[in-house]
Amino acid sequence: MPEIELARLTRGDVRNLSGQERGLRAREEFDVDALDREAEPVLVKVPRDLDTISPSFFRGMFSVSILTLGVAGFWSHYVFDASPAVLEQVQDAVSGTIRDRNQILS
Amino acid sequence: MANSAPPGAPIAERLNRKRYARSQLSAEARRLRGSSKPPIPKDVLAFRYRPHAMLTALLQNREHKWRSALKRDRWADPSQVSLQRLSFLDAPEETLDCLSKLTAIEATALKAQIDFDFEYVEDIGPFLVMQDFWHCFAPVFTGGTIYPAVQKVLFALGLNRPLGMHFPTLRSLRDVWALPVQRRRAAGSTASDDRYLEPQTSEIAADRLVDEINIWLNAAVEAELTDQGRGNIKSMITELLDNAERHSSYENKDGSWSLAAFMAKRPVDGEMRFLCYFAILSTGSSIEESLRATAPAELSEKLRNFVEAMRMSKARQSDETLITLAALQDGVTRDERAYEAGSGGYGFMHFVDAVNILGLSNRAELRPKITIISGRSCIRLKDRYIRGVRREGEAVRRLLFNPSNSLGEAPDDQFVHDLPVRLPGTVISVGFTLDPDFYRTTLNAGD
Repeated sequence: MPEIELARLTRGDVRNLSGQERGLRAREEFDVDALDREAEPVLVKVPRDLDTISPSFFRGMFSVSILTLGVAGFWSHYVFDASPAVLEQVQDAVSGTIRDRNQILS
Repeated sequence: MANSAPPGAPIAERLNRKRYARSQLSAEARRLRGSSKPPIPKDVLAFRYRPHAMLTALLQNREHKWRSALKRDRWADPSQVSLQRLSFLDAPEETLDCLSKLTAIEATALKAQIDFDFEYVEDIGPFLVMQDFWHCFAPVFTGGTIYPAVQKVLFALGLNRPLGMHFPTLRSLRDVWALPVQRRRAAGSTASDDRYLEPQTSEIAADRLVDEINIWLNAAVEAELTDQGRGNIKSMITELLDNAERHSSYENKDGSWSLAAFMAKRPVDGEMRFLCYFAILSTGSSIEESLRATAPAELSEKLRNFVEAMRMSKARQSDETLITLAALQDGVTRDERAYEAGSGGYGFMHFVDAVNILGLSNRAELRPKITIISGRSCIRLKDRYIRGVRREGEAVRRLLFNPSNSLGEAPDDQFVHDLPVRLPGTVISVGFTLDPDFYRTTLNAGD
């Protein structure tokens, strides 16, 4: 099973991942575009001491995947090995990605 | 006349006598004044003009008004500045006026004193602004008065040194819990292309802030953040710092910021309260400048429509302030990739929600306050306009500062208004109270 090892970004120095630019750069670094096309599911390994993945980081890294695969497709393709609290943040971020943000300024 | 040269005396002798008389007169004048020319302090004498965008904003044409030490009035009495209030949360205009006064005095005085005539620090924001520009001030401010509780907070925040203050009588930091100032490097100084693959300063600051908030909760209400709470607060702070980095230096998305936070236990109206303050300063572009310069075409069009709709509703604020207001709403991001992917623009409302959760109370006077100053815009979240609200059937939050929370009414200019000064950057000041009664009730109810 292909893996994304998020410890490569935290390096044991921080307990959270944040920022949309960092998420977009992480997408490039792990070549998530290619992983989206993988036949096998992809394991996303979250370090045990990491307590936060910010919505911006997550969407920077995965929003294109969610829009490409759809929400159900995303959940069946990407398997998160994370604490319950981080998993909840990921779920919130996935639903946030598909919200219609155009309502306010349209 | 006694010292006149006798008739027929040589010209040289006559002139010598005149010179002698003049020098005697000058000496007598000096004697009557009490001393010879007052000396100029060496550090002031050696100081050369240092530009700073913030100072140019606070004092128009500062570069022309600023005098070198030798051109300043040595005979003038030391200038005395009384700062009655430094709080963007409660008095943004007055606070900017105080900072302008300091800047004007620094430009021309040889010696001055600052009296901090308030008992408590009630907002960190102004102090973050001061520490940002203080190194560009000639060292003319020497001494003044400052209350012990203010000394305590400034020392705990590590702001005394950047502000050139010494507190020899300070003995204890009791009843103050602080996260000292955290700073990100100056804008544009990052060399690494792979900087986003390394742990970020904002992430380190967020870890530290959450550790500090846990200490506050423990001290004030004998509670601590849940895993979910830690996640929410960290998201809030990193989203905000991420915005600060990207907005304040929109060309390279590499702006600088500083952040600090403290909690103080203080007597207010006959009871002890746990008052929490937090502020972020980013210098450079304002939110509006950044958004206007870089928004994707579709968003630019929507911003124009937003301003037009507000004009139709008779909004009195400038376009700049209305665009700043629009920028705070969910889903508004200047980043084209993020905009197209729907992956940005939620950070501010997450932050507001997190502050509201921390500062929950049944008592209206304890509710949180947030002030945003960016460029010439001032937006004050408080009272009934303290959080974004989702309308039925909408997922996004909006906070438009009018009773219907819609584009059909103008924003209330008590809460959204223009400032007389254009600050080059953004300050976000936050104040909230940890209410032990509320936490006790909530925890006992098992919520």
